[in-house]
Amino acid sequence: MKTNKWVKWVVGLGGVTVFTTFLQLVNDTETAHQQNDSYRSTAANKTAEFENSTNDETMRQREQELMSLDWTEGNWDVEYSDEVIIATPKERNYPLPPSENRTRRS
Amino acid sequence: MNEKQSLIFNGMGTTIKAEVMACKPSLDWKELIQTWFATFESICSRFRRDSELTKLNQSPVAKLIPIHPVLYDVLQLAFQYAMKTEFYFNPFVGTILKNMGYEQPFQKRRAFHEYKENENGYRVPSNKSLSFFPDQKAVMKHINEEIDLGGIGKGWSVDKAYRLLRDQGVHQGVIDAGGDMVIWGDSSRKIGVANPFAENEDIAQFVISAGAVATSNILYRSWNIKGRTFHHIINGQTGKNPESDVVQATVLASHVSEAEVIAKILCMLPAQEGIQWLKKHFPKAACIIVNKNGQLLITPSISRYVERLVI
Repeated sequence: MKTNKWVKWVVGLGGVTVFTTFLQLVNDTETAHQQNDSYRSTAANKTAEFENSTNDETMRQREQELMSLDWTEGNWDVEYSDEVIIATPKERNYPLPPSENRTRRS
Repeated sequence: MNEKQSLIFNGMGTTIKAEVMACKPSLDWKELIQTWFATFESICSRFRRDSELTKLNQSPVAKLIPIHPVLYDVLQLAFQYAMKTEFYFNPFVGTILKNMGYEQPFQKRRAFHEYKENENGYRVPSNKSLSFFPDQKAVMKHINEEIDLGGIGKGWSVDKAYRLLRDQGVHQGVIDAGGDMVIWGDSSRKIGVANPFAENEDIAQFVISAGAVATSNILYRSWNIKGRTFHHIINGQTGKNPESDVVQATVLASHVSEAEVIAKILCMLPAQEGIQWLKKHFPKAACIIVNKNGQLLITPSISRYVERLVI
């Protein structure tokens, strides 16, 4: 009888422990998921911000490159201002062959 | 399935080229856009006797006139641009063009007749020249001048063709109607700007993956009557051919219709003035102007559209 009593105690305590551990595990997993979601969200936001800044940066770089190109070595003498780039053809001009896709008078 | 397909056909008085990455085998995109351009021309050409536009031009003033929804939409946009540009862009130049002898498609012209000055003088239209009734898709004219959609129609129809294809899942392509073009997708393309002084050469080239481009030029579609040269671009504020040092204007914008309207206006103004005008009225657009001396005037805003520029 005594043995049975101790067995019941052990099984009972074991069950509670297992159940508590299970709850803890579930809780930890949910927390982990929440943290993970939070990370993803943050990461996504960061990515978006990064992409936006990249686009802005790209745009700025492109404009800077455009304004600083040394075109005077080519077919044109180039003057820059904030509002317009003026390219004047040099005497000896090397024509560009027509592209496959072209915009022209319509 | 992603397959590169292309199509070339004649329409709208020019050659129309399209190249797309078609993703649905069931989609007959060629039929779709050929039908679209043919439909648009049958509705909006002022050279067709049976077009909706011709019927509108022949209708009396101060009368409610129901019109085809396509004509309604393009007319509404044209009128919006007319007001935004203080009628530099003016769709009411049909009568003037007729008086200058431009009565038939340029490709079919034989000889241009004598130039007839407008006996009543020229009056700039106003925002009250045309009323719109959206519920009925109807308009009411308040002036007699005929409407010509030559400065916007092609661009508008290219924009619409692009939307038709995009809505069918075509995620990449280019549509080019005589140099007015839309490019979309992720793939970069090299686009040449024809040299107005030597059509078989490019005067500039740029690399672009998405955007709208249109070019206007005063040398093409020009004609001579008794020693006097005329061309198809009319300054809507004067009713006359503009006197400008600009020979050609290429515009990059968010829509082809907008690029086309701006390109026309840049051919009306002195080059430097045009640059200022563009910055003030369409700051997000960009241009490459060629003047009579062969100089290029390029706005730095071109960096919004192009990845690379070669001159």
